[in-house]
Amino acid sequence: MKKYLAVALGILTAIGGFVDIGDLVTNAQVGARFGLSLAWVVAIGVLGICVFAEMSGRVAAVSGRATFDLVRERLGPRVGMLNLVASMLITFLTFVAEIGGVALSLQLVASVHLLLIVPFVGLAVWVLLWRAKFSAIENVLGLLGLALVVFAVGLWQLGPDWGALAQQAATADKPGDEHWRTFAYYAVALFGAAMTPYEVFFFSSGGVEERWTAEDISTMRANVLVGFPLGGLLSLAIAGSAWVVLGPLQISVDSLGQVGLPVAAALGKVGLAVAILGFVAATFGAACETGLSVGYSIAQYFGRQWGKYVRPKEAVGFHVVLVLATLAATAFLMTAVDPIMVTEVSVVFSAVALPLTYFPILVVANDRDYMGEHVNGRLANGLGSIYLVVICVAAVAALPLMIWTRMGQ
Amino acid sequence: MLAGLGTALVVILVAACAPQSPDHSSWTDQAHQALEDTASQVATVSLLLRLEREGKVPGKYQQVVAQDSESAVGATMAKFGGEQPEPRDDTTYRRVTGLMSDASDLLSEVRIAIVRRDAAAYPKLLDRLGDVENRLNAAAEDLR
Amino acid sequence: MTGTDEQRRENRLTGRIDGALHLLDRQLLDCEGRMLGKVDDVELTRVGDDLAITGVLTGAAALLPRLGGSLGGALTRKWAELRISEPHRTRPWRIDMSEVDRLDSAVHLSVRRDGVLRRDRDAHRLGRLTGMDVLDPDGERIGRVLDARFEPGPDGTLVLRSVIVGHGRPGSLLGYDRRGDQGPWLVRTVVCRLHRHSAIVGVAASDISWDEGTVRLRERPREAPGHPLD
Repeated sequence: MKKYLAVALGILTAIGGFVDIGDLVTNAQVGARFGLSLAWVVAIGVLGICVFAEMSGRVAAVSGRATFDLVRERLGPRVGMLNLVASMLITFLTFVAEIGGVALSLQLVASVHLLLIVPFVGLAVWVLLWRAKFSAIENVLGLLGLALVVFAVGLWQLGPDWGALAQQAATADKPGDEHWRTFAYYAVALFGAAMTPYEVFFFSSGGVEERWTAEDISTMRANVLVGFPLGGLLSLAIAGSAWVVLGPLQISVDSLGQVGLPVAAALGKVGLAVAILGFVAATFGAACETGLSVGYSIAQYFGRQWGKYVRPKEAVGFHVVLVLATLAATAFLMTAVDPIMVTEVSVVFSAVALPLTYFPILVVANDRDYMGEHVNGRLANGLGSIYLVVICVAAVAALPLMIWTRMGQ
Repeated sequence: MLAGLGTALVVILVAACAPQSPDHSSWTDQAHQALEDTASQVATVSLLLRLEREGKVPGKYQQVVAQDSESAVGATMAKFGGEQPEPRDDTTYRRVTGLMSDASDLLSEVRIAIVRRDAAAYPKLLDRLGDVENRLNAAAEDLR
Repeated sequence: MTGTDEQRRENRLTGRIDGALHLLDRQLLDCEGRMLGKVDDVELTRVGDDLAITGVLTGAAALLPRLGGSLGGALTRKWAELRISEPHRTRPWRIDMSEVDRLDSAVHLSVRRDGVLRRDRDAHRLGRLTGMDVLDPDGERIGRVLDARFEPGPDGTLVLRSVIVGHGRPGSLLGYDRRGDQGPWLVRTVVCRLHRHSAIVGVAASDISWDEGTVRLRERPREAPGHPLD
C-alpha cells in the first residue's frame, strides 16, 4: 500500500512539476497563433523527455552517478568544461525566467510593480533551497502545480468543436496567415520547452540524493512514463484554450495575464484564482529545480560535496553557488528585463544545448561497466538513436530560425 | 580568431547603436508587425472589459493586464518610431504612428477607468476599442 | 554511491582497466560515502621496468594542465602566481593507492576524507601520457595516445602494459573499442568509423619520452584495440 502511495505521489508531482514558465508561455503563444497544429511537437517533446529522463534516472539508480559526473567522465575535462559552461548559462537563464515567472504570477494578485516583488521572490527561493527538505519542495510544489488542471477543465467548459481541434492536431493544419518559418521556429521553441535540460539534471541528481537503487527503477519509470505524458496533456490544454478564446480575436500572447484569460472566460474568478495558484506553484517549483541544477552540476563537475541530504556546513561550495546564482538571477531581473522575453530566449537555447548532455547519457546507458544488466534494451536504443538525430536537428536549426523569424514575428 | 571575434563584436555594437534605416519592404514589414502587435493588445483589453461585464476577472488582475497592454503598445511605438522611413513611406508613416498613438491614448483611458472601477464608462470604451481595433486591422491589411 | 552498497558493481582494480576510460575523472568518495573531489589525474611511478599507478591526483594543480592547449598552460601559470609564497603550488594533491579501496563508477577510499590529501612528491601523470604524439620507427607521427591499458602486476599494483594509438582526443573511443556489441548502433558505427585506424601497442616495444612528450615505437602497430571480454 505504501509503495502504491509513493508511486501515485511521484506521478502526481511529475505532472505538476512538468509545466514551468517556458511551457506556460510557449504553449499559450503557440495555441493562440497556431491552435493545436503544433500538438505533434509537444508529443515528440514529451516522448523525448521520457526517453532522456528514463535513461538518466536508470543510470543514476544503477551507478549512483548524476548527469555532470557522466558528462565529465565520458567527454573529459576540456569538453566537459565547455559543456558545463554552456549548460549552466542556459540553466541560469531558465532560473531567471522562473523567478521572473513567480514574480509575474504574484503580480497578478498583488498588482504592484514587478521590481518590488522580484527581491522577495529571490529571497524566498534561496531560503527554500537552503532550509527546506528536498522531498518537501518536490511534493508540495508539485502537488500545488496540479492546480493547472484548471486549464483542461476550462477547455472542456468552453465546449470547443472537438472534432475540429482533433483534426487540426492530427493533420498539423497551420492557419493560413502564418509563415512556415514561424511554424518551424515555434516547433523548435515548443520542443525546447518540453525538453528543458535542467529537468534531467534535477531528476538524476534527485535520484542520487534519494539513494535510488536498481529496485527503484520500476517506480522511477512509472513516474516518468505516466507523469510526463499527463503533464504534456496539461500543456496541450493550455494551447487549446488559448486557441479557442484568444485565437479568434487575433491576440498574440506576450504577458502572463493573457495566458490566464481563457480560464477566466471559461470558469470566472474562481477558476482564475486556481490558475494563478498553479502559476505560482509551477514556477516556484521550477525555480527551485533550476537553482539546484546549477549547484548540482557545478559541484558534480568538480567532484565537490553536493546535495540537500547533507548539512549545508558539509557542502559549503554547493550552497555558495546556490546563493550566488540566486543573487545573480535576482540582479538580472532587477535590470527590468522582461521575464517573458527571457523565457522565450531560454526555451530556444534549451533546444540548442540539449545534445551536450543527451549524448553522454546515451553512451553511458549502454556501457556495461556502469549499467551491468540494466543497459539500454532495443526499445530504449531505438528511440534513443532517433532522438539523438531529432535533438541534433533541433539544436542546429534553432538559432538560424530565431534570427530569420526575428523570434517568431 | 580573437581578432575576428573582436571585429564581429564591434560590427554588432555599431549596428545596434546606429539609427535603423531599413529598406522599403522591410520597413513595411515592421509597420505591419507593429500594427498587428498593437491590435493584439487592443483586442486583449477589449476581451478583458467583456469578461469584466460578466464578473469573471478580479480587479487587480484587470489592472495588471491593462497596464501590461498599455506598456506593450508604448514599447511597440518607441521601437517602430526609431525606424527611419524612406520619403515615399511618409504617408504610411503618419497613418501608422497616428493609429498607434490613438490606441495608446485609448488604452491609457481604459486603464484609468479600470483602476477607478468606473464601470459606467466601460460600454463606451468597449465601442471605441472595437473601432480602433478595426482601423488597426484595416491598416495592417493594406500593408500586406 | 555510498560505502554501504558493497555489491553495487565489481571492483575494477583487480582486473585490466583503461586509464582514461575507467579511472580519470571519476568521483572520489571516502569510506563514509562523502565526496572529496574528482580523479583529476593519475600518478605514475617507475617501478623497475614498469610504470605503475601509485596514486590518484586531485585539485586544481592536477585539473588545469588537463584542460590542454594554451588555456590549460595559462591557467596553470595563473594558479601558481595566485599565491607566489606557497611552495610547490603546481604540485597536485595526491592520495596513495594504498588508501584506495575500490574502483567502480567511483573511486572509494578506505579512509575518512579528513586530512587524506598529501602534497609530498612529484611524479609522472597519466593525463600527460594520454595525448602524447606517437612516432613510428622512422620518426613519422602516426597519431596520439588515446588511452593507456593497465593490468595488475605481481604485487597487485596496476602496471602499464600497452597504449592505444589513434587520431582524435584521449577518451574519444568512449569505450566502444572494448565491446563490439555496445549500442546504440548509430553511435557505435560512427565512433568505430572515426577510429578505424586505431591500434594497440605494447609498452615493451616503445620508448616513452616524458621530456619531449612523445612515444616512439620500435615496430609498426598491427593489432586493433578490441580485446576479449574480461
